[in-house]
Amino acid sequence: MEQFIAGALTLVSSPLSVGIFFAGLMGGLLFGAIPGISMLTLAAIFLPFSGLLSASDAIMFYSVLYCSGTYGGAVTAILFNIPGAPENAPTAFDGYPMTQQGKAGKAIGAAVLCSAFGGTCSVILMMVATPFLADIAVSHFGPPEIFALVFFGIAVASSVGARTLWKGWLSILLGLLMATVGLDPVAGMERYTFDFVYLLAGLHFIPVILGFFAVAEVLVQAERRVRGSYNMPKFATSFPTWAEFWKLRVAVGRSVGLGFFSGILPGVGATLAAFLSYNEAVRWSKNRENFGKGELEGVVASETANNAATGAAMIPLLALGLPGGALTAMMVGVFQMHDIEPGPLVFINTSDLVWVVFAAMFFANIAILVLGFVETKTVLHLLRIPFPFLAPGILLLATVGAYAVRNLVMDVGVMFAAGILAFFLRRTGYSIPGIVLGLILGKLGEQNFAQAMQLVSYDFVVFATRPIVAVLLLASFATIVTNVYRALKGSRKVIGL
Amino acid sequence: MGRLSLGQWFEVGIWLVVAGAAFGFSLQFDRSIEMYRFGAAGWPRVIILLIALAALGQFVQDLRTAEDTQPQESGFFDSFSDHGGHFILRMGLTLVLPIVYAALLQGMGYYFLTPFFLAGYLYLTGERRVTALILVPLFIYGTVTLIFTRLLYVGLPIGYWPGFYDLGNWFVVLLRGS
Repeated sequence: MEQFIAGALTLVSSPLSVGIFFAGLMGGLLFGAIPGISMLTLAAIFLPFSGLLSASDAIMFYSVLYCSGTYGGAVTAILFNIPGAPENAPTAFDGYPMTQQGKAGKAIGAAVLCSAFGGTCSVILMMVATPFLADIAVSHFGPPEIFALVFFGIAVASSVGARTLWKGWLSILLGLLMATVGLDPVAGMERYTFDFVYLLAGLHFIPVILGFFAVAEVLVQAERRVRGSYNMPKFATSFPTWAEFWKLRVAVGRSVGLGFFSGILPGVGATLAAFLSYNEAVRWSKNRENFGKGELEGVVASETANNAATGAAMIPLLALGLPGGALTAMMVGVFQMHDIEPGPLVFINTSDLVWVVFAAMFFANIAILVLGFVETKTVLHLLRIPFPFLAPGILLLATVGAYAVRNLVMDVGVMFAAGILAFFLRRTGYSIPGIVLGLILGKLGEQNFAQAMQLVSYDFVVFATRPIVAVLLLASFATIVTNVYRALKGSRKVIGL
Repeated sequence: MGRLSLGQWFEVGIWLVVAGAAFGFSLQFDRSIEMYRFGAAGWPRVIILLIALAALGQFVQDLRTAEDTQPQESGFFDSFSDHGGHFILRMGLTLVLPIVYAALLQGMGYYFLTPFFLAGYLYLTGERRVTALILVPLFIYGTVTLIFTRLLYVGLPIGYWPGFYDLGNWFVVLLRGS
C-alpha cells in the first residue's frame, strides 16, 4: 500500500508527469475512437519521442494509452461496426445492432462501465500478485499449453459470428491460411510469397483489419445507398441502469476472470480474452438466441474481458520481459531505449518506476469512467452526420493508417482488397472477426505447435500427461464435437454477422 | 435433394478451388526441415484439408436445407440479381474505385489523387449536388492532410511520375512551412 501511495505521489508531483498521463489517456480515447486509426498508430508515432522522456514517464504513457485505447476502440465498434482493434471485434456483434435499434448510448455506457471495472480489477490483481503469477505463468505454461489455449480459442470462436458452424470454421481457417504467408516459423522457408519481396514478412494485420472492418463497412453502406435502402440509425442518449448491470454481475465476474487469465499469458492477450468471454456469455446465457441482435450482455462480456487483459498483460512484460501484444512489444522497446531490461530485476532495481505504472493504470481506469461518459455524450453526435459524408473520412483515415504502418503503398492495396473480400464474405454469412482471429493466432499457434512437438519428441501421448494441455484439448474437442453434431442434426446457430 | 442456388454452388466451388490452389502452391515449399518432422508444408496442408472438409460440410447442410419448405438463404449472387444492370454497374465501379486509387497512388501521389478519389466515391454512391461533391472531399482531405502532414509529420506518398512528384513535394513544403 505504501508503494502504491508513493507511486501515486510521484505521478502527481511533476506537472510533466500529469501532462503525460492525460496525453496518454486522451490519446487512447481519441485515437481508439477514430475509425481507421487505433491506439497502435499513436503508439508507433510516439515511439521515437519516448526516448526524450524519463523512463517512468515513457512507460506510464504507454500503459495509460493501453487502458484508454482498448476502451476507445469499443466506441467505433458500437457506432459504426468498425472495431478500433481486434479485441473490440466481439463488442460489435451486439453493440452495432443496439445502435441500429437506437440504443447506442446504452451500449457505449455499458462499455464505459465495464471497461473501467474490468481494468480496475485487473490492475488491483496485478499490484497484488505480479511476481507470483508471473512465476506460475512461466513455469506451468510452455509451448504445449499455449498451443492448446490457442486451439481452444479457435474452437470456441468458430461457433460465434457466422451464419452457420461451417462458415464459422471456414472463416477461421481462411485467417489461419492467410497467416501462413511469409516465412515459416521454424526454418524461415518462403511460403506463398510468389517471389514478391513484399510478402516475405507476411500480411501485416493492421491493413487487413482496416480493410475487413473499416473499408468493408463503408462498402456495405455504399451498397445500401446505391440500392436506396440506407437508413440513418436512430439517435438516443439513454444509458444503462444499475439494475441492468446488477443482473449481469455473473457475466461481469466471469469476464474479469477470463480476461485476466488470457492477458497474463505471453503472446495471447486481449483479443482471445474478448472472444472467449463472449462465447462463454452465449453458452451460459438463458437468452442465447438474442445474441447478435443487440443483447447488452454481449457488449458487457467483451469489454470487461479485453480491459481485464490490459493489467494482466503487464505481468509477463514487467516480470519476465515477454510482451503480450503489439503495444506491450513496443513497451519492451521503450524499456531498452532507457537502458532497462524488463524482467525480474525491474522489481528490485527500478521498483519506483513499476509502482508509478501501477498507480497510473489504476487512475486511468477510474478516469475512463468519468471521461468515458463525457465522451459518450459528444461522440454519439457523430451519428447525426449522414454516413455517406462520414464514409469518405473513414476511407481516408484508413488509407493513412494502412500506409503509416510500413510506408508501403502495397499495404493500402491489401487493405482495399481485404475490404472488397470482406464485403462479399459478409453478405454470405461469414465471420470477419473469425478471419482476423485466425490471422492473429495463426503464427502464434504454429510456432508453439512446432516447439511443442520438438519438446515432446513428437509423442502426442505426452500431451495427456500435462494437465493443462489435456483439459484444454478435451474442452476443445468437446466443443467441436457438440457443434458438429448440432450442425449435422440441422439446428443452425445464427449469431451476429 | 432440393435445388441449390447458383450462389451456393459457386461458394463451395470457390472454396474447393482455393484449397486446391493452396495445395498446389504448397508443393513449392514442400521440403523437409532437419529439426522439424512436419516441414514447412505440414501446417498449411492441415488447414487446407480442414477447409475442404468444412466446405463440403456447408454443401451438405445446404443440400439438407434445400429439402425443407423454408426459402433458401440468400447466396452469393441472389441479391445482385434482384436489381438491374444499372445497380450492378454502379456497385461494380464503387468496388473497383478503391483498387484504381491504390494502383495510382504510388505514381500520382496522395496529395493530388485523394480529392478526386473522395469525390468519385461520393458521386458513385448517389451524391449529385456539386457543392457537396467539391466541399465535402476538400474539407475531409484538408483536415486529415493537415493533421498527419503538418502536426504528426507522417510521410505520405508524393508520387514519382513526372510532374506529380514536383507537385507533391511542393504541397508538403507548403504544409510544413520549411
